[in-house]
Amino acid sequence: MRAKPLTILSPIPWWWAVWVRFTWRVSALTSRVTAPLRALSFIHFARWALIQRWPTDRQTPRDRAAPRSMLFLTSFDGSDIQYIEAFVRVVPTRINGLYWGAKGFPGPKRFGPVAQYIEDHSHPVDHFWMAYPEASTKMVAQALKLQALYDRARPGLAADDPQRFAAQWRRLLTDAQALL
Amino acid sequence: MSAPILVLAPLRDGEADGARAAIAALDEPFARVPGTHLARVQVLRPPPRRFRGRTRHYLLLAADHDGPAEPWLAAAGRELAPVLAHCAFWPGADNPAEVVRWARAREVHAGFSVVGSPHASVEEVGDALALRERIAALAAQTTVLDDAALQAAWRAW
Repeated sequence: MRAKPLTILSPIPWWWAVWVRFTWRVSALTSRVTAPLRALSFIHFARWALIQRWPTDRQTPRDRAAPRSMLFLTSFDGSDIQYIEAFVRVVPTRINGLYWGAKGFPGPKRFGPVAQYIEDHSHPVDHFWMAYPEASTKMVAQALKLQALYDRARPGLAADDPQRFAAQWRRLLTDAQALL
Repeated sequence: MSAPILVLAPLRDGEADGARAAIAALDEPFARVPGTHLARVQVLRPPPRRFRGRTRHYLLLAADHDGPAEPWLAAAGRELAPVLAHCAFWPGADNPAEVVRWARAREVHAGFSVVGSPHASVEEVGDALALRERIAALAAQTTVLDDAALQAAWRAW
């Protein structure tokens, strides 16, 4: 399995929950917020959610000891260290926008304290499954691009004349070189 | 387009170890839940607030899947029944509508997401990865063939 899961639970004060909710609404309007994170190209899925009440169902009495929290679920290629380092180096502003108000968050500038924060707040994933376990995010993206190229080239590949077929095949391989 | 599902259900008192054992005994339940990109199940215990005593244990079920949530939840409920049986108010896996209602009441909504390939279904990703492998293999096999032999190899592909 290439992808690694991480579950991080960060206690946050009420005012930070308000801020986070606001910024998520704004970020839904533009891809500029997520673009640099997607460009890191090793994130399969990353989801953030607010837990205002433990448990969420009103049938069960409130767990008064459990703090309002932000839940972060991610699966990524590579090691924890590379992942954290990339976040710290590439998107510190966005990390600050998500975690500045989280209790105990040391700020995104230095790797060591962030790594320690993640270790302190991560929870072991007991069972993790993925439909394409051997594929990295990059491989998936390349394969999807290749599929689109192939679909476009397909009518030409159906040519009866071997020369025309070969020309089309070689064109496809040239275009797809970086994707194989 | 894939969508997230996050269900956070309190475990019955004293059943955290039982839930962990049930999770450890799982084989690949999500392989039998159509449309699942990836999924996780874990026992989670939030850190306690100061002077408020101990927190409860919770079961977190989270996944990214294709299509509507209801059939996914019903199928996942069936496959994960031995684990979910440790959760408070679990209705049993026999009635899919009850399973969906139970899960929906315990759902947490993802507010912010970053997804590598957000528009591709599991099937599309699988097909594209298989095609990539096949094209790479054929390209490696046919580098020295003339046009007619190349076409014959393609047709035999």
